[in-house]
Amino acid sequence: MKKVYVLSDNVISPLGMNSEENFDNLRDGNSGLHYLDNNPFTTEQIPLGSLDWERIFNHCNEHEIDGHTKFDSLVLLSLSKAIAESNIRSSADNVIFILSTTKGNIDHLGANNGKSFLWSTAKVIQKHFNTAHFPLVISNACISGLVAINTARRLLASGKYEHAVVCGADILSDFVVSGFLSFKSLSAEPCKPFDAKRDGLSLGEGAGTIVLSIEQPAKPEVIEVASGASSNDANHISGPSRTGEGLFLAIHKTLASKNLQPQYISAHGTATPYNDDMESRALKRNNLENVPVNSFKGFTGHTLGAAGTIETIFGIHAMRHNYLIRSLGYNEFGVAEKINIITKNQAYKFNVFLKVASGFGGCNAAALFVKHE
Amino acid sequence: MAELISSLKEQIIEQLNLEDLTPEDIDEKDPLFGDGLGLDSIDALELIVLLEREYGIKVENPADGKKIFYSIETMADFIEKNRKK
Amino acid sequence: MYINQYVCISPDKVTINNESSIINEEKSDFRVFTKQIYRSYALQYPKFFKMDEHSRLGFLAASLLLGPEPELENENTAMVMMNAESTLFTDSQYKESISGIPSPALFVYTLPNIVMGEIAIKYKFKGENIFLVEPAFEAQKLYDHTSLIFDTTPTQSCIAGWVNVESTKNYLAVLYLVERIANSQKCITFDPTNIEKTFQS
Repeated sequence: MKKVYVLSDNVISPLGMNSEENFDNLRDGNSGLHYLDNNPFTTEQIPLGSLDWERIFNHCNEHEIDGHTKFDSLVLLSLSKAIAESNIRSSADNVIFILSTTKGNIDHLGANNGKSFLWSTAKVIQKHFNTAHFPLVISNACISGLVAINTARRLLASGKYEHAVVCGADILSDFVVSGFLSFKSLSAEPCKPFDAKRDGLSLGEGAGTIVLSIEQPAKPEVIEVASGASSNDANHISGPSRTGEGLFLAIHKTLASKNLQPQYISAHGTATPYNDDMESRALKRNNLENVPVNSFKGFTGHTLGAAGTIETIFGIHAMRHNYLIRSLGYNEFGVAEKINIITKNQAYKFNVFLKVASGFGGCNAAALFVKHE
Repeated sequence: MAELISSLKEQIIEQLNLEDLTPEDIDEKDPLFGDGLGLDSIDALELIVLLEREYGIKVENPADGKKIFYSIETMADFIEKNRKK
Repeated sequence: MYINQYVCISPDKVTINNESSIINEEKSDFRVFTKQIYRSYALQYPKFFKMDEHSRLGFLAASLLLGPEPELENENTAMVMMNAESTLFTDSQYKESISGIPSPALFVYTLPNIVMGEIAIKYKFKGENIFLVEPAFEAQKLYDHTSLIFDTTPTQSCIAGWVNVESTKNYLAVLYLVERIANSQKCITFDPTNIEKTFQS
């Protein structure tokens, strides 16, 4: 099996248009969750992590991306930016594109223009980048991003391709906002992962693209995508297992294959009462209760199909900078098991980082990243 | 009250897709959750939808559901006291 | 790898290992025909009736494929599923409910991987899960993604296939039980040619 490395990445989120701008805002503690003056999705007073679409479409013009839907434009822009920094040839036969999304162009549902098929975005990607292979589309609830990264790693490690361009993306919509409201799982305030007073999640939108390769980049530090796995709770389709069974297994399988101990964990941390308890149990069962952990969802909201890639990229940048970002929204301990939540930004040298995620359908995933200097 | 209980049984069977049950199978004093009918958290949310749609009652906090939806009888009581339709 | 069993459910009929099991003589719509299948096999699983079309179809196909107590290693049983529609049929129904009071029971089914969750709950499968959306079924792609899981993880068995609902009259589920070891008389090699031969649409 070949080793797989990170060549480049891009995040478009409520915190900015590229990974660096995003990381600067993370470091400065600037949340992307706001109450919209004219909330197009609901009359309920809930904060959302919404994108600056005007800015996005301006950037699209600069990249000659036009005439596309909101979602497709977002995906093409994030892909373009990440690919530009990677120096790979997007039309080469040894490149595979992977899109991770839960609802794609859901704002076009019922429009009868073929856009609501998730693979319609794959077609747009194929045409725009002249890809040699039809892009894969993975739709696996909130773990889609990590499943896409794990799939990319496996495809490269087994020699099927040499480079993979993985983009996770989702946009806010009436469909999704009303759905989570019907679940009564949205907080009226910016979400508070792991906090005693947490009472629900905040929704966000964005895209995260990560370019992987079997070639090591010519940089002083190299990030390896070391391992990863997914597992099902086999318990309930919308509530997580009380024992954290699936997440425990996903983490266990990820770490066992490498015999490495993570030094920082980016949690799923949605701030629902049940998710955060479950995660603390899964971490404890894996003997990870002392490893510094945070959730990025207090910054961007839950970006669904984008979360796995966006938050992985945030974690990688933290690892590059040897710096931990505090878990925004957290004030008072309030989960089932005592875990080591990061309460303030701090310099911290580390080389091994674990990303985890859980999703509807009882699915869970984890991925491990190692920095080589 | 008896009429309300009878309609409630039918509405619940329909709303929650309890295919193999008839109103006669449900005792209004039996717990709906846990061991009784074995309903789950999504069913609880759907019962909240039922209350709003049929009786104009809005339950904002799903945690209140535990008491209200304990049994058909407690549901009927709650509806009688709070219905707007 | 080997295909030890396979099941196909279409609007016309149910076949198991290419042998006809139930024919939809009345040409009933989805809910009626699938209820007929459910009752024929005495499935005894009340939650079936809470599922949307996509999950009902995949769940039924898996139940017929595996029977009540398959001898599989739960932690090493994976699921690799694909379709073209994702859950658009249910999405449209949910969208209609938004104009009244949005239904949480419908919303939860508007993700294509939920069908794998339902199967996992019944059989306690805790292995790898992946759901892919493709414009049309391609035997090569099902082969590629399933063999990738076997090549790169400790997976011993995999429920692999296509579960697609376009409308109440147009739907198809083809599920294969793929395993490292051949353990049935009728088993065939898992490869694109055999997938192509056995996939009925």
